[in-house]
Amino acid sequence: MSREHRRLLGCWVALLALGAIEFGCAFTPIGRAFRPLLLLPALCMAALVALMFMGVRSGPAIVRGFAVASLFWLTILLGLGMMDPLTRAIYPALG
Amino acid sequence: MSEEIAPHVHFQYTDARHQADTAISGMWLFLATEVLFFGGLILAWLFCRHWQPQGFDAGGRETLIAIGTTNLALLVTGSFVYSAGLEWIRQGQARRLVQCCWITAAIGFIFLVLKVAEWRIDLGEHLFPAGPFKIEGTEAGGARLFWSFYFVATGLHALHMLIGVGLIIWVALAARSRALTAEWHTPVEVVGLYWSFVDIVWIVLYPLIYLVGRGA
Repeated sequence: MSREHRRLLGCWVALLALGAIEFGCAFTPIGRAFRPLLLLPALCMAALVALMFMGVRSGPAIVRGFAVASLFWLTILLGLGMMDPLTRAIYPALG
Repeated sequence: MSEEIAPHVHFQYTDARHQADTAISGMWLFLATEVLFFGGLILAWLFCRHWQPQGFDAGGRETLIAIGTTNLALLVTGSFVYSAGLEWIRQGQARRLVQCCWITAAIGFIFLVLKVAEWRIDLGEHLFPAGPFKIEGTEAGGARLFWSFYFVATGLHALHMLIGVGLIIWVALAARSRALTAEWHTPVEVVGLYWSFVDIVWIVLYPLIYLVGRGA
């Protein structure tokens, strides 16, 4: 087994460990508003897959450019999309 | 002239690396559009849960977490095995790549079988958002929204998985016929990018579908 294979194996073990942490955290009593924080281990897992399995770490610069650009536009999409729901004041109906 | 030296290099590229980088960049560009495609789904999840958190979480609690978690482990393992195969072909070991491809395709197939079984159970429990629905009362509206998201998201992901399994079988057959070598294995890299991306999509969908609604 080469050094690269051992590195991939380590990444796989780390992914399974993060998945287990995420699974375990799901059953802890976290308030409803904070439960989307359960996405944090998932985001770490996604970053690991991109860096180690998709060659973002070792690939050409343009690959990193596409990866960063896709994250940038995703942030724009989610940020602008949630701007209204997160900032709108809800007033009770009268009468 | 270049065709005699490297038969896979087309005339417009200076060398095989240039051609490989172009193909990989093309796949990344496609994946960037896919990020925005699935981004719309994530936005729908955020939007619907923001307005109807109780009903949305009530819907999430009905999901089959054992199958979802098994599928997460399967996909992570599939990405690892395929990446190991890519490393083997870089070292010139086509036979090892073929083995890795068949294992990855089998993992993808098991994922799809589990997914179909899960859908059957969900439908049997009246969790399809149209028609008679399991959850009633004030939480019904949010729960229906959740299950609409569930079927659209898992359906689109399964479609991507199906395409991915097909591509991996194609790579396995190409490697078996000695069409891929240590010097030229661009299709293995490009298909690997797609496969790992489909893995990332499930990694993100997993907490949205199976975890956030639990324990709330």
